[in-house]
Amino acid sequence: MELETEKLDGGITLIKLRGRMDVRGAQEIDLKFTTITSVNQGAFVIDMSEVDFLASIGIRTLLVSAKAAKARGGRLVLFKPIELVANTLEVAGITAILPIFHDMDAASAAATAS
Amino acid sequence: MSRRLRIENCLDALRPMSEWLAESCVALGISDDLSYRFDLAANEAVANTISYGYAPGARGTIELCFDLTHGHAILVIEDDGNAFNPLELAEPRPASSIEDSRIGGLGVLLIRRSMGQCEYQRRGGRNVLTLKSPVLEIQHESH
Repeated sequence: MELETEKLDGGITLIKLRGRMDVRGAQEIDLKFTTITSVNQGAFVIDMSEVDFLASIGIRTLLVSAKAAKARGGRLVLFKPIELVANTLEVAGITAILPIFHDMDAASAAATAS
Repeated sequence: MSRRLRIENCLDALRPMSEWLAESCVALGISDDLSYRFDLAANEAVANTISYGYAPGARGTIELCFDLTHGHAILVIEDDGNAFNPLELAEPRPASSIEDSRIGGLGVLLIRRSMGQCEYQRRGGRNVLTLKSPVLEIQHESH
């Protein structure tokens, strides 16, 4: 898996993930992803549009970071997961904690909401 | 026309397993959606088996057999580990807050929801997991 970050207006950190979020993929990005979400303040938008597979281990990575962001008074939201990945998140019952947006303005607004 | 794969009880074998499954689905004319669901179920089940079904350091073999018969795609996963049912963990409640969320058992939930039918048996000193799903449409003809 690959990970890129970008700072957006309003203090939002955009994290773009690319590849399979399976055991191997989660392991490849885990340290960097966890560090970024615990070091930076506040708002995170995770661009999931190029994540072509998501297993429970990947959900764990996302949840841990959502928890870390929340503990620092911030929020983590997911942007544009593909349909099969979004289905998995819905089946996991996790979309209240990891909300999904397909519009970047809505994602940004949700990430910065208090 | 069943397709077979043998892997070691090692997490590094999961990627080759997924590649074999994807190729098998194409060869059997299975849709991308169903192929994804098998990929997910197999990854969850086999990761559980590798992580929890063997004593630390114990080497073992996991055999997979994929077949299309009577309108069903069937994946049988057989391993020589300790008696271990990857479907046995309790399913988690849907998480309503970060504090309530539980990852334990999430993999099992994903296996059960991805597949039409899941069945575990202990047979001849082996764990046998059968994952089955109806094939609703054939994406293209297989030969």
